[in-house]
Amino acid sequence: MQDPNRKPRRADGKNNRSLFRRTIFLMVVLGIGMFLPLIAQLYKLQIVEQKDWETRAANQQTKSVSVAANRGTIYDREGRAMALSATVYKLILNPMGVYGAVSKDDYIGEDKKLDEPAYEKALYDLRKTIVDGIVELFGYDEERLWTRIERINSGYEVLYYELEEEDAEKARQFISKNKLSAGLQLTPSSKRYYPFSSIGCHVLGFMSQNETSGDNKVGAQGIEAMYEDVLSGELGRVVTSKNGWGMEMISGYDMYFDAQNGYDVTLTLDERIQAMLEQTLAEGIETYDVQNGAFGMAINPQTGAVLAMASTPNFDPNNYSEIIDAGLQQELADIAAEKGEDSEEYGAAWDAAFARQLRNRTLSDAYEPGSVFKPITVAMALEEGVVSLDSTFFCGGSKVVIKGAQPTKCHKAGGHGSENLTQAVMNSCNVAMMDIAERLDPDVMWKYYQDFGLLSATGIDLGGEGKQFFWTEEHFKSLNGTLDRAVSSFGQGMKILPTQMISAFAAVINGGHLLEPYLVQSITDQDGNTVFYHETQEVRQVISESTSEKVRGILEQVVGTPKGSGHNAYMSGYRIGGKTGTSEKLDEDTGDVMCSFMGFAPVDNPQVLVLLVYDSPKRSSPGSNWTAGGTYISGGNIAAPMAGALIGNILDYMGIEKQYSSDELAGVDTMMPRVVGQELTVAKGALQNQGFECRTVGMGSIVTHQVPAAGAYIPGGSNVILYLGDEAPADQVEVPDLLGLSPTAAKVKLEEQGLFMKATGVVDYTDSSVVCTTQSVNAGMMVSPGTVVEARFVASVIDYGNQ
Amino acid sequence: MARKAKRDLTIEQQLARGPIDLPFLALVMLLTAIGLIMVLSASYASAMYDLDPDVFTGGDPLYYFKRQFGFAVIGVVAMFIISRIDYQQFRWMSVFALGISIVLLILVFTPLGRTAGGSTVRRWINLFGIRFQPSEVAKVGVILYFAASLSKRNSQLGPPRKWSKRTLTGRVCAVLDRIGLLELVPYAVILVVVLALLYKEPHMSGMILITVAAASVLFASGIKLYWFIGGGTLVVAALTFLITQTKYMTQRITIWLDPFQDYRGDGFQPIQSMIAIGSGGLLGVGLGNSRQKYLFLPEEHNDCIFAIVCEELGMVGAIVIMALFSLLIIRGYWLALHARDRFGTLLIVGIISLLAVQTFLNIGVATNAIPTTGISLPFFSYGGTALAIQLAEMGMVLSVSRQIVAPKAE
Repeated sequence: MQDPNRKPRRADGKNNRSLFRRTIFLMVVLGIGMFLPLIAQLYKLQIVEQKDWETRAANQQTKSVSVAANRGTIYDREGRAMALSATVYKLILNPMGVYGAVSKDDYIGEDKKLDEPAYEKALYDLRKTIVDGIVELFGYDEERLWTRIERINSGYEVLYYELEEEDAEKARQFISKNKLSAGLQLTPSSKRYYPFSSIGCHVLGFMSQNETSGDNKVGAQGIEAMYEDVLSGELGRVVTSKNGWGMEMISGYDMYFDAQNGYDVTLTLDERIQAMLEQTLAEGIETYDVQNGAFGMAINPQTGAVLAMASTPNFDPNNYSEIIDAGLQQELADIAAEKGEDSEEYGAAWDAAFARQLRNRTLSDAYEPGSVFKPITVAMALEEGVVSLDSTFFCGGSKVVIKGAQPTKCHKAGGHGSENLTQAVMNSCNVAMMDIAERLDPDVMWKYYQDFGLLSATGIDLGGEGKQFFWTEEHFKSLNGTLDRAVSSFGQGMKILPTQMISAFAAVINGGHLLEPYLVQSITDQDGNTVFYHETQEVRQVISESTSEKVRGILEQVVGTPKGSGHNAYMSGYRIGGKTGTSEKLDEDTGDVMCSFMGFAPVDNPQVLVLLVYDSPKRSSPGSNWTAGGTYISGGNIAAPMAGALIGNILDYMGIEKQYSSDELAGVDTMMPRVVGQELTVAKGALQNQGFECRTVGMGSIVTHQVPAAGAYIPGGSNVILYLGDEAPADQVEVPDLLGLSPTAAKVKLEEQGLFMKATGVVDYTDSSVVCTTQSVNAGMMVSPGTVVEARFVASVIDYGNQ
Repeated sequence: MARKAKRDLTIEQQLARGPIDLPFLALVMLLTAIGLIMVLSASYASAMYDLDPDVFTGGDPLYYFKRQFGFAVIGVVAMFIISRIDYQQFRWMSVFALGISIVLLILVFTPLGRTAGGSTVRRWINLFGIRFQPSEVAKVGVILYFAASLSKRNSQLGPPRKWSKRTLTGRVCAVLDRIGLLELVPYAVILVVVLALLYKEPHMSGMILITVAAASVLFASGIKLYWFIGGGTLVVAALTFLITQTKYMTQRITIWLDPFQDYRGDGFQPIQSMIAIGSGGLLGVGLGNSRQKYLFLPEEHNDCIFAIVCEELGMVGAIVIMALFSLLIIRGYWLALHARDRFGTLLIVGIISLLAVQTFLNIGVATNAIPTTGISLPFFSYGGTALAIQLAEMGMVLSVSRQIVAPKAE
């Protein structure tokens, strides 16, 4: 306007209009337009993706120290801790923190320049303090530690995962003494201990890391896995804020999340019974040279509570990856010697061995139960009324099930002849069972198999229960299934789980109730409140109480009668009933058999039911029916004696009073009266009253010494020694070797030495095949006269094959 | 200074005593105040930990704030003084401003120049105990000179100059003149000189801003649009070439697209910035409660201060501040539209465009909407001289606002 060189108005106006338009354009674009994408971006970051960024922020700004939750303890029936956790510590190196702990600012000289060498030295010194300390305290590999401490991009290097309290205290002192908290941290974690090592390992399981658990170990297998959620509890956390150098900040950001401790689990398992069972399995394997291991189970037949469950080979849950079975170790050592430990064969063998020792065969592997199954056949036949205790059968050694087909043999070539139902079971006669099966309607048989729980899992509270191999319903009931129905009556042709077998058997003897077997009795929280208690779960009643009672009676005869196939399980004072089994493995062509025994006691009110199975005792030579040790290979000779002793021990441990029959009562321990100083005749009379026999040593009429001393308990009917005149008993006598002797011979041999015999097992003084298998005091030991030596007798030659 | 009575003044002088634009002033003061508060909050941790090796804070958490506050006071005073100068005086000053700018840019390469953070980048000079970036001065110099010079464009174009049609040069010049290239030559030369000096420092963001400022003045002054289209095409082509052909730029783009691929390296700053912004959410963690400023976010009181704003004040706070910027920019252009003459318009357009683009680039980088470049946020980022110069520029705008003829009262 004031411009002296005024332009023509038009040009000016045109230019000004352009200026106006362009400025408006800029105003719209820069004043409003450009903010729109920015707001969109803010919306994306602050609203849409807000959670993500907040999580990232929390992750880097806070230091979350986890507070380990105590894993619950696993107790046995009697409150013995079988798996418990203790606090251990993780030692974590923070190389980034170590690096940051030496500040460059402290080494800036007056010239405002970094004194490089001094700074480097300070950093080196700090690192060296840490390295030297850790190496000295725990022997960490020095070179490796140097490598790790120089990873300045890392803030988390775990040096030790499980430092025990003692070591952790050392580390703690080292850290505080040298002010190293920026570089070294201890965080609590927990470690699982199994005080009884391998006892009950398959039931308990073990702890290991898996793909999803990260650093933490979680339960693998067994109760630890099945009840992982219950036992583990929830980790607690302490969240504190930290700055970009990882240093904790004093601020109000601290947050505490209490750890939720896991619940305690109390099992029905009894550690002592478990130990007895495992011991029994191990002894049997050793004694009878069993090749494929053994498995067994003990339950309370009234409730279904599992008292013990074992399988060999087993492992130590404290260190589950170590092969501890001697046999497997030997196999591996052989391969290592031949091919080397780096060979593929060794790796494969190790893997196989590892898998084998973790396998709980009792739970997972179906087997052919063999004659142990017969009581089930008998029970359903009695229940259906197709047979009675008075029924008679005739066994000619084989039976033609289908006209024109091959006859199915009984194990006794000559046949058992005429026999009633009890005798048929005692003889373990296959022909009689096939006769019974013939009388049963296929539909009824199938229904009973179903009702006995053979066609479905038992529902035991343990993961990994296997599956039975059974005929289809259609085939079983069809004409083509006739032979299969016949052999099923004596437990061949199908495979069922040991758990199914034992719970079906329990139903047969407990009054007909099929129960769900279980392992966890109760779960309690940390304050002791019971949050779960297992009530007996009855699936159904299969047979009547009276039928059950009849079968119990038959099964007592199997053990109690000297001619019974299970007589080796007999223990005086215990009313044991049971059934033997020698099952062929029809899906193998090895000819190997499984020797098993299912026994229970007391017969009138069963408290314990035991199943023992030994897989493939080694034959002395191919085709032979004998072990190298001279035992006839059958359930009755191998499993029954082991089971008898085991049941006796369990009953003793459970404090169940012994019941003696009048015959047995003669052998019951009696107190030795005092006869010293008495006339010999008077003394003899007193002893006779107590049921003792006596012999005299020396000449005279007055008893001067007696063996045993007054007040000692010795078996009734023992031959006590009276010393007359100057004669006196020797101070110490040597225990003779009784193994392989008959009861009579053993008794005489002991009494010669002034010792007394307490006979257990099959005490048949007339059968020459009954021999001593164990003695309570080893031969050659020096003991006082009058000591009672316990000897166990077993008939080794009951020559029944497929019992 | 004795004030002359109004009647003794020329019309020119009377106009120069008009009222300054209060809305604009209020927005400037508001942003400066908020900026100061944010510097206090953002720099607190870094001052306390004495993080910057070039600065010795002595562990005083208020160190940066105090200095920034001092410069803000100086800047506000400067703004008022400058707003009182009759902006017509800037016309002749502009030549000197440009000259001084170029001299200062050259001085960077003399012993007066300073580097920062141990790098080889020389962007600072130390003059009379004040440390500053000559590029800040150069922005003003370029804008002033371009505005002053281009405001006379109309008169220069006046009657088209006659070119001799006989000589070849004459004919070429005539063609060039007709397509409007010839008039661009002096500006191009100046721009190339300044950019070359900045390139040598190197100072990428300075180059961008000066180019944008110069372009905005040229654009407003009526330079033919096809030059902008052509120039824009050229820039896009050059950028495409750089991005695809040079490793440095390619990497920058890939980091921009996915910062997590180099979490500990170049991606660190964008990630930390986004963490700060994202964790702020809608309402923020509260003023002073930023966690990211505790040694996580680099440049938290400089280039990344807006991330702290977003973290502490949330999306709501961030939008309020962006709205203030928006209002300031719109008001700035409004003043430009109403300025008394072309010079005033072009001067404001240059200054406001510079401020707007700077704001956009800074917030864009902080939110990872655009690849990383080191551009500070006007009024917010720590940097005393930059703030003072920024306020001085606002003083120029206010000076122009005085001479706006008040609309006739109805």
